[in-house]
Amino acid sequence: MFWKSTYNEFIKIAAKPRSYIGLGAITVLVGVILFAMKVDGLAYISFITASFEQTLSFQGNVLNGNLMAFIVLQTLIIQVPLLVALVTGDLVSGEAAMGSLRMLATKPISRTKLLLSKFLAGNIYTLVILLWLGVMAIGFGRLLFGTGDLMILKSEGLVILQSTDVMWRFLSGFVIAYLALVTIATLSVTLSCFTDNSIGPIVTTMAIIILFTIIGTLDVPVFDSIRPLLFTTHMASWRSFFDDPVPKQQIANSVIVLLIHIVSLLGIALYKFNKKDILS
Amino acid sequence: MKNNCVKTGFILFVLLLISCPDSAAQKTPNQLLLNVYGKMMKVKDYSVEASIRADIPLIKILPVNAVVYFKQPDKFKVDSKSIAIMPKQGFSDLSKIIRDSTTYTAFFTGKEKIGTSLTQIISLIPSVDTGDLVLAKFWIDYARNLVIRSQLTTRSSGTIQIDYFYTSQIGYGLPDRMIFTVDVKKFKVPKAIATDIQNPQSKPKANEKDSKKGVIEIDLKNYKINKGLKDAFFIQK
Repeated sequence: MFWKSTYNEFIKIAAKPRSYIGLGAITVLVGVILFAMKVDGLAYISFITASFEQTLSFQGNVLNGNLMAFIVLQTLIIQVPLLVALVTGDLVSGEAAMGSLRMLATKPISRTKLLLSKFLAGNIYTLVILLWLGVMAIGFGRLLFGTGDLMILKSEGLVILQSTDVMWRFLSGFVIAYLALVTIATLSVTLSCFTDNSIGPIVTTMAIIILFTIIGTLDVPVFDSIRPLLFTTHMASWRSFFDDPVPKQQIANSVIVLLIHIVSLLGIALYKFNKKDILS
Repeated sequence: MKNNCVKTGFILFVLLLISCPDSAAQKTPNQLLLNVYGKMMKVKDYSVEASIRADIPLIKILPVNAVVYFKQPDKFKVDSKSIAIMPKQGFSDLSKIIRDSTTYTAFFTGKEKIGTSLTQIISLIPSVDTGDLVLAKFWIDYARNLVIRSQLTTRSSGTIQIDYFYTSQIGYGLPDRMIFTVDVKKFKVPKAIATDIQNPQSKPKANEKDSKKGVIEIDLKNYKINKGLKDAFFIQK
């Protein structure tokens, strides 16, 4: 029953036009970035390497698909959570607003399983969004620009990773990015349990992401103790896989923080949904 | 009487030794440079396999392999599947610098033994002070007409020192190993576009900030000399 319910929930997501906004937005955004890089990419690269190029010259295919994929992910990883929240924030409150939640609750499945099936369907949608982002970024990036070593500019300097050493970093980065997006999905599902309108949880999720991101970015000592606890701080931890050496402890720490957020938020959502007085 | 003859002979011998100039002193700096240039010009073009190791503050890169192509006077190309970091100057432009003696003033500034080579140091100041090159110094093994070390100071790149090591292609004056020491004090990472700008904890390490010199070591092997590389080959696609 749980799997059938999950399937039904996923079909409901697939039937909503708003579910395709995310896929469409990713397609357009990645297309625009790749087009811009194809036309003006070398100028962008020389802007990055300008201070080095006074003394050194960079030989080989610097403007390649791996770099494009990294730039795309770097640019879009802030926006993708908003696209996910657009769908997952509507999972419970949308049904409540439409009046179908009461009927849904009469089905021979516990409220816990019902919410978990919605949560799982939301996670599958999140995976689809992330996979599409990966296909667009890495697949189309490599198709248009070829492969090559990945040059990343960090505040500590320039890191150049060999092309053979890049794919596993992307895949591992995607796993962490997925965990971060699941955290967003869980947050919006949780908020969705508290209201009966679909806009509220979506906007609140976006507001929380923006607020936490600003707190995390501000280099002010008063936030030093809070920053490691914010899930937005750890959402960017996929980039740690592109450090050399990879900071395993830091990544493990991020995974733990994100998992704690997911479990805690899901717990709150289950408690609220089970206690919810479904009137319509 | 016999003793006097020995003394006179010894004094004459010493005087002869003192008055006899060494082979470098016989030549002017320009002649010495032209001898080196002549040796360089025996090579019309070459290709060589290069193994490049860069140890540069603020840049993390593994050693890479590349093929370097050169054609006189200044055509230069590097083929590499990986990203290779090469010095902007000093790899192929020595012959360009010294070929026209009317464009600079050269003078001896000392002698130095580098490894097993006795070298004459020649400083070279360009006649025109508006160019990029400010000063060039060459440590020349005058016995073999080889540049053992060079130091180029330019407005754009600061100072770059190159040490040359010769074995297989000594006859052509082509090195098997080059060590570039470059000035890196001008390197600045543009913080606004660094990928971890959102992480306030990521700041440059103090020792990296203070580093001044970067070293690029290039090992060269399998020279293919004077095979007739076409000009079109050097046009970048």
